[in-house]
Amino acid sequence: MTRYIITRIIHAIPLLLGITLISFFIMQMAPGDYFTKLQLNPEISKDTMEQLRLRFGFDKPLIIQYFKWLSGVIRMDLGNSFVYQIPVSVLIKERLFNTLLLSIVSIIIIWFIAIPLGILCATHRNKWIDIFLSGTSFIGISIPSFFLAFLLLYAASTTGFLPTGGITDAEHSSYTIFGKLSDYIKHLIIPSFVIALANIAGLMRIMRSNMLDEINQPYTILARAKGLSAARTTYKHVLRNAINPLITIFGYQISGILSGAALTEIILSWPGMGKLMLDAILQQDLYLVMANLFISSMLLIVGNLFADVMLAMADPRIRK
Amino acid sequence: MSSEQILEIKNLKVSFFSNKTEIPVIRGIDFAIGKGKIMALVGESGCGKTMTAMSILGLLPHNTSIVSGEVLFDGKEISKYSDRQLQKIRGKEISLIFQEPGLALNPVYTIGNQIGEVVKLHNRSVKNVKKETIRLLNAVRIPNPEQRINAYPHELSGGMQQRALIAMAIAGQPKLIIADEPTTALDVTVQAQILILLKEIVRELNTSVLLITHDLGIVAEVADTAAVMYAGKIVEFGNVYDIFHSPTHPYTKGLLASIPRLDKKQKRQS
Amino acid sequence: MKNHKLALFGAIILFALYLTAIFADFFAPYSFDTEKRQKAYHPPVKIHFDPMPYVYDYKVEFHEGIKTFTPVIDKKYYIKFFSKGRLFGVDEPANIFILGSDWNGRDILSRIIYGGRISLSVGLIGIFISLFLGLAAGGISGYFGGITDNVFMRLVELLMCFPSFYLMLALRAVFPISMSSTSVYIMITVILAFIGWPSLARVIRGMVLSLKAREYVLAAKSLGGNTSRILFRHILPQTFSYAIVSATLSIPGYILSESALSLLGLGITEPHTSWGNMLNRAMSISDMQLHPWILWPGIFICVTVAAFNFLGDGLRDMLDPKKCHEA
Repeated sequence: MTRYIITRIIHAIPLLLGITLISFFIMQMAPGDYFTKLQLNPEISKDTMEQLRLRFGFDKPLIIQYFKWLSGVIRMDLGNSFVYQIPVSVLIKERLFNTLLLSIVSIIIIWFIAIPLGILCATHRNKWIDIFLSGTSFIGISIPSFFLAFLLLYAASTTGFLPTGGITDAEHSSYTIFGKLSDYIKHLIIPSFVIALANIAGLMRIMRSNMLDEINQPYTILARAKGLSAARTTYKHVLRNAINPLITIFGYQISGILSGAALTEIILSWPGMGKLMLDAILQQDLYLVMANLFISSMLLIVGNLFADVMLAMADPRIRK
Repeated sequence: MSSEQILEIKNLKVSFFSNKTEIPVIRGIDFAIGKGKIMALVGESGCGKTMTAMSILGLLPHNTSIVSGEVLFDGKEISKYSDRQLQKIRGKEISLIFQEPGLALNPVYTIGNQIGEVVKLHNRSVKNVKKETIRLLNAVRIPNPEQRINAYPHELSGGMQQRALIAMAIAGQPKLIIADEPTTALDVTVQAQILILLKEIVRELNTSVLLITHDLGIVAEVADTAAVMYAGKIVEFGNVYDIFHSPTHPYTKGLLASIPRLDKKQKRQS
Repeated sequence: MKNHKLALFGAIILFALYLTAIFADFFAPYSFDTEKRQKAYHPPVKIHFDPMPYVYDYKVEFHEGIKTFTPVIDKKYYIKFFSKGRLFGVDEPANIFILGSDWNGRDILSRIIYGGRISLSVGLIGIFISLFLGLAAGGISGYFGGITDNVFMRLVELLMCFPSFYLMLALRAVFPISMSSTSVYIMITVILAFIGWPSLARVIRGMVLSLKAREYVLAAKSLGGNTSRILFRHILPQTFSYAIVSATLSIPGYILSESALSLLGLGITEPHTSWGNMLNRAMSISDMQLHPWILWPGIFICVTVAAFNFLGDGLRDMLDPKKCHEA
């Protein structure tokens, strides 16, 4: 088991290197460089610019620049933001937590709703609940997340039930611990639901289909023949096998969840990496853009690693 | 119903329902199995053998059901039992062994877990489930049971898997074991071992066996009585010796004639 | 069976949408940039029947700082069909804002119809390019194997490590913020195709690998020698049916990506219209609350996505030999 984990980690390292390469390459293609923006700033003298140029090695060939940047990355120095003039890593750190919080909460919601519903549909196959849920799931897949965000925003603003954006209220600091917690939860509800909905629909249908496949397997019949009740058979035997493919699918979904989170953050003013990315693009803050790209894909790689390990834990056949 | 018989099937009819049309699968079969005896149910694939087994256990698929007839087990009419009542019988008084042991075992649980499951269900008095599981593994001649108990099904050979299945089948000390083609997926040498094991179990536990097979060699080897099934009906029933030496039904004769023989020259059918 | 009806339904909807987009000049009552500034944020116009359809002109008034539109009921303006080269319209000064008007007094329905030209075509062209790239890369990679395969698949794996949204924005940053509309259109299509081809390439490669194992034996027996070209022409076509299903199911993603990009102001910009950029104003809550009809483009996006999903699902069921049709 540990050997498997180590193998996966080793496999991830060249990927991480690769994404730094691609991120760097993409940024080189962008018009202008560090200095285009700086030149507009009257406070910086020509001499300072020359020093910076030498320091960052902008006169050296690209390969050297890449390695300079890479060595910085390993030391967690991702360069400075042009606009804010502070280290990029500081900016990202603030936002990274928020994005992770939103993403993880969304994932939890997806699983806690999709799996029971999928089981429900499978065990009540072709009865009205199955038909109803399968029908609505189709709608769920078809609604774009940003449109859903608008609709819920509209509903929230007209009813005043839930906050219309942001991560905390203005008076957050004056709340009690309990108040702070419920403030966070209230603000999390709409964005996480927006991200979760499309994925719930898809996962539910897959869960249903997997359950139906497993129900017809010989080992299920044997379990009944051993004297297990239908419920026991379903929950101990069928479910356990039906879930395994879902873990693989979860790995594929992570990319979509991160992307969905980014867009939702922007629309609902959730201060996460998505919003940071957009601002960086609009202001042509190149180092910030590059770092955002890199960190987001690193999240993806780590997420996939996590999914691989989970799959190995769940399915003994993988470990060999 | 004779007290010597553990299972008696009387005029059992089972049909498959699709789009409100009824398609008969088993069209009225009769047979009986004596206590401590092995009865073989012979026939080609698709004639309804497995369906018969499923009807006895009440595990017929979704749109298939018993239309009429009686299934008498140990004097009780179980064809009308509710699922809950049948549940008490399954695994404990009647147990099942399958054809492809690799598929009949759940890949994500150890065999110790799966055998222990049956032990816990039916032998509530057994305090030490692990000890009992090891005892069962020994009974089916699996070497190194203390280690094998933690093995996953895919780590075992076909023969070992089948022994594990047999261990599960005898855990409840059943009166009847239904063995649905238990050796078909195994090598010939392993087949022989499993059959020997089955015979031993019958002797030691005084269990009866309903052996479903299409292999006449096995029938000759192991069975006391045999029923020949064709297209949902039983065309011949009786003592194995009688059937082999003086078959009455043309289908039986045809079956027997199709066994390749080393001692006689046989014409090929074109 | 149910799937086939749905697929047909989807196909019909798509046909209608594309038809109206192509012949926008006919179907839309106004041009996409016809502005009636006094009638900004006009609510959807009510159509009355006597039994011919007609509308009223609306008077703009300000009550306590709030703009109101009240119908002027003394004059009926009948809807004219097939006039001025358009399917329907009304005489001035009345307006036939069936879905209301936007902040510049432009008819939303007309803008949606014209916007369809961009929103619906970007997806198609983008997927075309992706298909081409994916088939080429997957085909070459799967067929020749060895180092080529390794290199391609590493590249594909790397590209798929980037969440699509971040990659899309980063690629957008490569281009100047403000570009001409044509350039923007080409840029978006290229970016979308670039993001989409890796997953397609991977699947095609898998299919080619399994096909190669089958066909190769036959080829080795029959032809020998220079068979690679011919096999290439035999193997790839067998992947087409899957590729088409995959493409149909991917188009919604492309449409949504373009919409997201335009929504954020990084895609199609004013005065041109795409469904995404029409929703830009919806980001302001007060605007949305006061004039909820500006959300209509979103509904069109939903419908299009649903239609493609129906169609794709139906196609997939048709092409999948394993599925028995449930009674």
